[in-house]
Amino acid sequence: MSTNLNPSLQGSHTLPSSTDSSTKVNLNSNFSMFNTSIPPKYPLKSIPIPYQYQIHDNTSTLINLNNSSSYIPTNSKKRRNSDKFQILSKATIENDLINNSTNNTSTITSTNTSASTMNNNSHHGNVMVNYPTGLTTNTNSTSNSIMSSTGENNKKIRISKSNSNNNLKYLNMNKSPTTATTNTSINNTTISNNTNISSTVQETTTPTESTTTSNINATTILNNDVVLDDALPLSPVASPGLDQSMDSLLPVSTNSILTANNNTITNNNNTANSIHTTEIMSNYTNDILNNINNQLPEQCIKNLLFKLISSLNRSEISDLSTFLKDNLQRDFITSLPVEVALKILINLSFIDIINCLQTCKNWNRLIINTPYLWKHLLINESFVSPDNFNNYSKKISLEYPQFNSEELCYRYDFLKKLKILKNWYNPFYLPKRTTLLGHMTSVVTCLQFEDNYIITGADDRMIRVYDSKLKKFLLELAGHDGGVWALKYDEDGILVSGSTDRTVRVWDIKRGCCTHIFKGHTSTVRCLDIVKYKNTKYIITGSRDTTLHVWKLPYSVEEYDDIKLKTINEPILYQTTQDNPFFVGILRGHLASVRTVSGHGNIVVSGSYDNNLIVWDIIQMKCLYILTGHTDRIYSTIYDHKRSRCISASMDSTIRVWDLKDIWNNGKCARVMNSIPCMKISGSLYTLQGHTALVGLLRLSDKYLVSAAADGSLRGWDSDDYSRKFAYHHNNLSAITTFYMSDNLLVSGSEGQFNVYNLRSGKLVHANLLCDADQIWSVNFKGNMLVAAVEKDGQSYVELLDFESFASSNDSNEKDNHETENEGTGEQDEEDGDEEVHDTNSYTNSQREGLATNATTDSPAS
Amino acid sequence: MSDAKKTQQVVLVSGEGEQFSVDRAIAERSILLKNYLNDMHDHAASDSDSDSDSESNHESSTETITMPVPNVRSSVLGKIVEWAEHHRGSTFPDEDDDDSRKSAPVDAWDREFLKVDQEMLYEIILAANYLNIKPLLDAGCKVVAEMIRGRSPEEIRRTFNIVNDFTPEEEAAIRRENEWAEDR
Repeated sequence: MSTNLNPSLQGSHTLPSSTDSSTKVNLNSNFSMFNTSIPPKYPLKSIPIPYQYQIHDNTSTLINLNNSSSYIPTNSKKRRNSDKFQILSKATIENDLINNSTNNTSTITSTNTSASTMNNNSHHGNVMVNYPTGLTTNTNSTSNSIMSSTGENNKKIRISKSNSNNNLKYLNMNKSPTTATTNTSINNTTISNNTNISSTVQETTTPTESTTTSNINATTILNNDVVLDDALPLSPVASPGLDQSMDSLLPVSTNSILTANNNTITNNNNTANSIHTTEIMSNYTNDILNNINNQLPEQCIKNLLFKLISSLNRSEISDLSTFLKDNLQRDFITSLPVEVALKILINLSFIDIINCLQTCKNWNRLIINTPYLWKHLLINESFVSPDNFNNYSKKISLEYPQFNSEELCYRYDFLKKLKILKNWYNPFYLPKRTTLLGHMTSVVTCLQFEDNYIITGADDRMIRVYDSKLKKFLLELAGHDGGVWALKYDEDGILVSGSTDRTVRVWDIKRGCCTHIFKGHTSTVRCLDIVKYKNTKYIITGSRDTTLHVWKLPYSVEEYDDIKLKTINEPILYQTTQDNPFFVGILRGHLASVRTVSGHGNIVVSGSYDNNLIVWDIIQMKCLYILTGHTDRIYSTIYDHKRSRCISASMDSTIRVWDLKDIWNNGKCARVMNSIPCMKISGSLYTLQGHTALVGLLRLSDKYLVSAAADGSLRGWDSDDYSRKFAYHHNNLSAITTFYMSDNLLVSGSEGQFNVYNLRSGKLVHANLLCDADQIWSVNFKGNMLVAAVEKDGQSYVELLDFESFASSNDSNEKDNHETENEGTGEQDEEDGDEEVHDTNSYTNSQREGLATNATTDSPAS
Repeated sequence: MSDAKKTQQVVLVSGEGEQFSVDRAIAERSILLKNYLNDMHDHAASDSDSDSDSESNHESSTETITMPVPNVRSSVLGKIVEWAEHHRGSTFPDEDDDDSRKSAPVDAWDREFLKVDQEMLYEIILAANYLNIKPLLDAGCKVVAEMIRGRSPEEIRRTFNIVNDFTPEEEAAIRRENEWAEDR
C-alpha cells in the first residue's frame, strides 16, 4: 500500500519536472552539509527520519501503538508478560528466535545509539549515492534507511561488524540498477528472508505503480518508463522487515493486500476516462486512506506520513506547521492533573485569577473550591506572612463561624482583605474615623494593638485599653508609680509593662487588674520583650541601670497553676529578686542605659547608650557576643531570627546589620574575658547609610526593613540583601516619631504630619487623614483598622480609622471626590447615636471642639 | 562510589522503544528515576560492597542500566534529556522550599526551550510531573501561567481553545462579584 501510494504521490506531484527537481533536492541536501546558509527546498528530505517515523520490528513499539490493528494485543501481551527490566537478556533469546525463523517477534529494544548513528550515516551516504539516479531519490532513500534499520537488527543479532559491513554493501549495491543480484548476493546473511519478500513485493508493485501514475496524470506515463527503469529500488517503501512482519502477523498477507489495492486502482482506472476527475481522485484517495487505516500498522502509517510530508517544500511545510500549531491548543488547567493545574495557578496574581474565574465553569469551580490556592493568594498579596500562616489559620475560623472548616474561610477572608486594601489604596477613600480620649498627659510613650485591644501607656502612670471592634474605651490600668515607658502584650489579655518606678508589672486585661509586680531594677525600665523557649515564656527587661533582667512570664509557667493565679485579687508584689520565683537572672555587660531589646527563642539582643549591642543566651544566662561598631547611642534593634541576623539603628545615623550565624562575617572577633568570657565583634556585615540624623525606629516585615530618623525621612531596604527600596520625606523635616508597616502599607507620623504610603506603587496615598492632629505619637494598624495616639491642642486622643466601608458617606467614591479635606458636610453627625464615640469623615474646627468635649465624657476619671 | 555513579550509563527507553543513553547523573534529575536507580541497583552493589569494595564498584560503573519510561513518548523524552543535559551543572533552589522556587523567574534558556506547541508543552509538563523533575515542572507551569497572565477571559479562552460555557447571566454575575477588585 505504501508502496503504491508513495510513487503515486510523487508522480502526481513532481513528475512533470521530476528529474530536475529531485536532482536539485539532492544537490541542495548535499550542499547543506557544507553551506548551511542555503536552506534546502525540501527541508525534511535532507534529514534522517526521526525515530517515531521509522519502522521498527520491535514489539515495544507496538505496545504504545496498540489502539489500532488486531495483531497487536497478542504482542503486547507477550511484552507485558516478559519482565520489563530484563529486556536485554530476553532480547538475546529472542534474537535466536529471529535468526531461526522470522523477524517479526523481536522485542529488541530498537536502535541503540550507535545503531542510530549508523542509520544516519547510511542515510546520508544514500543521498549521495542516489544522486545520479535522481528521480527516485525519496523512495530510494527511505527504503534504504529502512533496510539499514533491518541492518540494525542484524547488528543486534550480533553478527556485529561483519554484518554491518554486509549492510553497507547492501546499500552500496542497492544504488546500482541491478538490485536483484544484490539481493541474492546477500542471501547468505540473516536478512535473507527479508530480501526474498522484498523482491516479491517489488514484483507486485511495479505494475501497480505504472497504473497509478497513468491514472493520475497522463504525462506521468512518459516518465513511467524512467520510473520503471529505476523502479526496482524505488518501490519497496514498505520495508522488507515490515512486509515480513505483516505477512506473519496479519490475517491477510501482504501480497493479497496489494492485489486488493491493485484491484481498486484498476477499477478507478476504468472510470478514469470520465470527466469526474475530482470525484475519482477523492474516491481514490479515500480508498487508499481506508486501506492504509485498515491494514497498515500504525508505525508504518507514521513512516508513510513522514515520507509524504518530506515531499513538501518549505512553504508547504510552513503552512502545515502553522495549521497544526493552531490546532494543537490545549486546556492545560482542565487536562492536567489537579495538583499540576494548581501549580500553574499559584503563579498568578489575583487580577489574573479573576480572569480565570470568568473563563469557563471548569476553571471557576477549580479555583473557587481550592483553599490551597487562596492560601497562596493570601501569602502572595502579603496579607498573611507565610511564617505566621498556621497562627492565622487557627484564628480565622473564629471570624467566620458560618464555615465549619478554616480552609473555607480563606477565600472569603482573602476577598475581604483585598477589598480593605483597595480602600487603603484609594486616595479618595475617607475611612470612618472614631476619636477617643487619651491620657492626662499629652505624650503617649507606647502603643500596642493586639487581638482587639488597643493599649496605650503614658507618663501619667496609666495604661489605657480600648476595644477596636466596639471602638470604645475599655478600661484603665492604674498602679504604676511612675510613667509607663515599655509595654508588651502577650496573648489572652496578658500585658507586661515597665515604668520609671523601676518595677515590671504583669496585668490581666480580662480581669482588669495587675497580677504581679516585679522589683529588682534600680532605675527606669525602658524596654522589654517577651520570648518563648520550650513552652516557657520569658520577660526580658532593659533598664537605665545598665542591666537586663530575665523573668518567667507567670501565666506560662506550669508549676504555678492557672486557677491560683486567676483568683488573685491583689497583685503579688515581689520586693526582691531573691524571693521572686519568676526571677531568672540578671544580664550584666552594658556600660550604659539599655535602650532597646529584641529576642526570639533563647537569643536576645540588647542595644545600649554605650554604643554596643550584646547578644545573650537567656537559657545559659550568658553573653555570646558584644557587637561594636556604632559610634553613638543605639536606639533600636531587631533580632531577625529567620535570617539569624541582628539589625541596629543608632544616633550615629547609620543602621548596621550583623550576621549571627557566621560571626566571622562581621569583621574582627576577639575573645574578651569579663566575668564570663565572650566574643567581641568589631565591624558589621553591612552598614546602611542614607539617614542624616539619629535613626530611632526600625521595623521588619517579610519584604522590607524600614528605618525612620530624626531627619524626617523613612527608608525602606530589602529585608534580605538590604538594597534600597524606597525613601520618603516628611514635608517639614520634623523627626519621625512613629511608623508602622506591612509589606503593602506604610503609615508614618511626625509633628503635624500623618502619611499613608502604598508600598506596591510607592505612592503617598493619604496625607490628610489626621491633619488636625498636632503631633502623632504612635501608630499601628491591622486589617481595616488604623490606630493612632495623637496630640491635639495639648490633649491626648486615640484615633481609630476604619477602612472597611460601613459609613454611608464612604460608600460612593463620587461623594468622596466632592468633599475636600477640611470642609465638613455635617451629615455624619446625625448618624451618631453613641455619645462616647464620635464618627467623622471631615473635620472643621467647630467639630473638633465638639469632639473634644464629647470625648472627655468617656474618661472614667473625670 | 560517587565517581562510579557519575560515569555509569543509563539507557532510557521511550514509549516507542527509542533508546536514550545518558549519564546516570542526568537520569537522576528525575527523582523518580533516582529513587528507582538507588533502590534497584545500589542495593545489590552495597551488598557486594562488603565483600570486595573496589571490584564491585568497578563493576557497577561499567554496567549499563536500562530504564523503560513507557509512558513518555520519544520526542518528549528527547526534550527532557536535552533539558537535563543542558542543566547538567545547574543547581536549583532548594527543592523543598516552595517559596524560593515559586518566586524565581523562568531561566532564559528554559523559556526558549519551552517555546513549543501547546501539546508538546503539555506532555513535557506531564512527563516532568510523572518523572518528578521539579525545576522543569516549575518552569513549565510558569510558562503556562505566563500564557494566562494579563489576558482577558476571552483571550484566555482563545489561547487554550476553551468554550465559554457560562450563560450571559452567570458571566455578568461573576464580573460584578469581582468588579471592585480590578484596576487597583
